[in-house]
Amino acid sequence: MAILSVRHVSRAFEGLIALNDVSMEVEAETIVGVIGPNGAGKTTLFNLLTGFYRPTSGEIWFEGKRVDGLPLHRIAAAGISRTFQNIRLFSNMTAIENVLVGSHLHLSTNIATAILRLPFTVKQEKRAVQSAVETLRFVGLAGRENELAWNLAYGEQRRLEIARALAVRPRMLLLDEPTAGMNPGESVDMIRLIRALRDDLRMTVVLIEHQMRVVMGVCEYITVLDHGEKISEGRPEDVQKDQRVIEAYLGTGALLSEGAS
Amino acid sequence: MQEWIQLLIDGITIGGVYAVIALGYTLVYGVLRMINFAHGELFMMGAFTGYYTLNGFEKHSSLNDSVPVLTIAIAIVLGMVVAVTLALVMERIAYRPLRRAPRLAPLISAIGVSILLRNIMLRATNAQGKVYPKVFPRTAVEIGEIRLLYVQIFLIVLSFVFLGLLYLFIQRTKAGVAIRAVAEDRDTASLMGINVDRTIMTTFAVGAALAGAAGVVYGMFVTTATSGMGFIPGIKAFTAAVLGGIGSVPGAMAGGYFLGISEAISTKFFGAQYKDVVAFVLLVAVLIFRPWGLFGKREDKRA
Repeated sequence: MAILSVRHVSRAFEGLIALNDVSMEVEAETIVGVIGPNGAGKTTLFNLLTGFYRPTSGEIWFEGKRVDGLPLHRIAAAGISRTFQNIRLFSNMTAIENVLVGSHLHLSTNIATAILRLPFTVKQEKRAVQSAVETLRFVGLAGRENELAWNLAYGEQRRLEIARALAVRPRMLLLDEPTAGMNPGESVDMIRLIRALRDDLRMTVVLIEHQMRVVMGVCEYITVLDHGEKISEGRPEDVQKDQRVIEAYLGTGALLSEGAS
Repeated sequence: MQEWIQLLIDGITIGGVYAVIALGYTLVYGVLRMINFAHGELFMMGAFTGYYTLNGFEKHSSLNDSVPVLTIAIAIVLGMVVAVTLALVMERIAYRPLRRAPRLAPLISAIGVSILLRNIMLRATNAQGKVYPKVFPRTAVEIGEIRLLYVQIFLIVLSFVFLGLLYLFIQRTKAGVAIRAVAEDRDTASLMGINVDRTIMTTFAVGAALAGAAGVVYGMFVTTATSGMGFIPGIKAFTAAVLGGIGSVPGAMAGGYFLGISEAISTKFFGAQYKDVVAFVLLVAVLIFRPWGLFGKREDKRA
């Protein structure tokens, strides 16, 4: 049963059609890649899924609930969380505070409980901190809890963004170019982390990626966009052979070789 | 020496008022990048609420004499309630529709709200200042040559209490975390499940509650409420917020005390009539040499 169902979604920006009649289904607990040349509409798709934009037409269903048109915070509460291509952490907060913002939805402290320090509050706070520490450990940031976000190394910031997204307790995680700007070693670590998200946390992962080695290495299913339209989808080995995909990538670097970005 | 201590105490007294009001400016600026120029009028409305409450008790009961703690507490709470209500109404009517407008629009709207409230009270009071009933003994505690009014002690302590509560609120509560997150990045905050509209309303409410309470206590301190009384403390508190670095909570607190103490000390050298000049010279100097304030961050460093 599909956890996400995108039905004939289009989005136009003052005449420019960024996404045209795109449909896709994502099965629960799979890792799905969205690829395509620059300007294909990948990020627009993410922005539609998270509620940044509303579709001009079409519907988006998540876990049997229609989510297009909902305010951002309601979509987050429905179980969709994301990271950004250009990292957008709360840079003046520490790593653990960033994660705690993510778990904000699941807290209930107010000024009275903060003053009175009721056992219930203390327990809840402890739990939140504990789970934040665990989440940080999961993404490989153990020991970095109290570092300010902007002091973290680039790769660590990417991991922290994933940790923060996880704290919202989503069922589906959208990763926008998780390995952008990473060296090969860091990319390998990131692939491992993405697999762990699915294997250990049973997360559904949808990612935008330019590095073909990452896409082919980690995705079980791929959707290809070009000029706002879906031109192909299927298993990586099939998509690679699709004539339309190869054509779309001609001129921007061969699909099979390294670094189509 | 004692003269200096006296100046310091006077500075801390008024500085506490500035600090409490300044928080309202800085919090709202944090989430909306907007100066709420009607904030001083919330303070003024708090002072009037305090007056009407205490005057009501004075006329219809003897509670001001028998249990002043109770009547003062009620006056402060009502002052907060009135200020919060007004703030929420002005946010909804005057600011929210302009949230996507150019930055100048909500600023002008705020000035409009400020003029409106001031004139409503001018009309309602027939331009007569309202004199508070005596709830505090007007005598002073004297230690050597240092004089401290009871109401002054009350004001100093209450400022500290409010600043402490605010700090706790911002650092330790769910709503406080939400305010900090929205201040840093509104869109990302909402992706984390934070309701941005509600958080902005909370921010206005918290700032207004502080201003309303400060209005009541300040009214008791200066013993009168007038329709124009929000203007100078409002501008001073704004100065304090800028001194500390607009958007910074510790900055607003420190800026308030810094400004209050500077003013008090300046009276020794230039006389009391120049203390406003000193405050605004400080403001201009900070804007020229350190526009991000003592605690703020340089905006130009941000993407």
